[in-house]
Amino acid sequence: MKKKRVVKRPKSRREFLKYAASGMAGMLIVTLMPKPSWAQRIHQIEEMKHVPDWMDHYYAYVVDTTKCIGCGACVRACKRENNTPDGYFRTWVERYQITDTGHVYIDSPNGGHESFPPKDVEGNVLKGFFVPKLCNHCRNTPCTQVCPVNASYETPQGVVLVDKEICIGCGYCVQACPYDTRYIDPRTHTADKCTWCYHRITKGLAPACVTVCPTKARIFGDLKEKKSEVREIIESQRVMVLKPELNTEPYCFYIGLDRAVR
Amino acid sequence: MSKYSHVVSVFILVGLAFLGFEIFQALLKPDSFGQYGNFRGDHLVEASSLSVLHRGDDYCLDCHDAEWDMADAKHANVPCESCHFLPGAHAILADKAPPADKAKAAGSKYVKVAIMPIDRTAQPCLNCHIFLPSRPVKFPQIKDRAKHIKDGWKKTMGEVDIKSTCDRCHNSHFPKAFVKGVT
Repeated sequence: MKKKRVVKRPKSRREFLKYAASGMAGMLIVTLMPKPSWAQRIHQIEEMKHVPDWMDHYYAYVVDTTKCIGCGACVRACKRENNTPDGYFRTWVERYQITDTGHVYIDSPNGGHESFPPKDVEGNVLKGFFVPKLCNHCRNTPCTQVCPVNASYETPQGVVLVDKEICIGCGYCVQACPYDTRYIDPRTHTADKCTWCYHRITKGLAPACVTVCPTKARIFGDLKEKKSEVREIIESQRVMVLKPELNTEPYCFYIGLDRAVR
Repeated sequence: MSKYSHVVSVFILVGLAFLGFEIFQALLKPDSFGQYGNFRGDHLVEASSLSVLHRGDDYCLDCHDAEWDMADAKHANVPCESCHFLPGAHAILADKAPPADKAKAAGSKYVKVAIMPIDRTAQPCLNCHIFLPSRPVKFPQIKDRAKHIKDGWKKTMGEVDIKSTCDRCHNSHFPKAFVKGVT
């Protein structure tokens, strides 16, 4: 005997609306579920141990924008240390000037390499500040996800690197990065980006930009170390990340971010 | 021909495809792939073996701590290599140079190693200290350079050229103290 197939489907508009409402309520509950705080995440990181000892670090970076004076020492140091081509920057400094006429002036002449020349603005500057930018070394990384050849990856220490031997220079990652931190190196035609000076941090040194910062606006450290400065700041101070709405989970934190910063 | 020959041929085809894939992968996959994760493990070694250029103050103080104490200085946080030079060649040559006691015997206090050129123009100072509205208010800044030099002139009671560099009046290490030698 052939059995008639029973397909359950809403019979009336009333029933359809009921299903739709319950579905939406379910989705809302999922979105409202609490995310782990940064302090909780640090504890989770501490428990992770599946790597050899020399790799047993988990790095984070803090930028204190209230201390930055825009001298450009970090940009110059990065250029020297990593030998980046002219006009391309692994880290750069942006100048923000907000005037009483309501304008927001944002500029970064040559990445802040030669510091900043005074700029004529309309009206008086109400507030101004410098914001150093660099690769945010996200955990939910848009750039590594789009790489078609798996040349870009996250190391177990939380650093995002590019393997130049494998990179084909397609530039997808350059487009995918919401922070504009990647570029195609015109000499090798491969993607390049900030590595938090991987050759330095694996030797126990701080990245070049952190080493030369005269006001200690850039801070770098290991989250697995209980007394590290970054951990203390993230646990006790009011920190923010860039573009949190994109859910990229950056490990580069900012103190004193303004609404105008993009 | 058994009645299962079509099944056998399917198995053989799938087996060949699998074998082909394995051979391709073995040929194309880098040796160290998957050593630490989903990437070429050797790249970690390559990336960490680049040469270090910036060394930080501790590196300089290994040899120079006895002659210099910057602990209380206003510029204590400014690393040596910002104004002096990258220590790379200097330090490598210092290791090869005759030891300090030999230099002493030759009548010199220092071992002469690679030259460390210092940019003595005003630019390195102005990078940090020219007035910009974006700088923190409490940070010492010069609004008008000509006026600054003129005011400084009165204080030092000496001849100060308008084109003078900052180190004519300021000690770069202890910038609070005016005029070299006068504290």
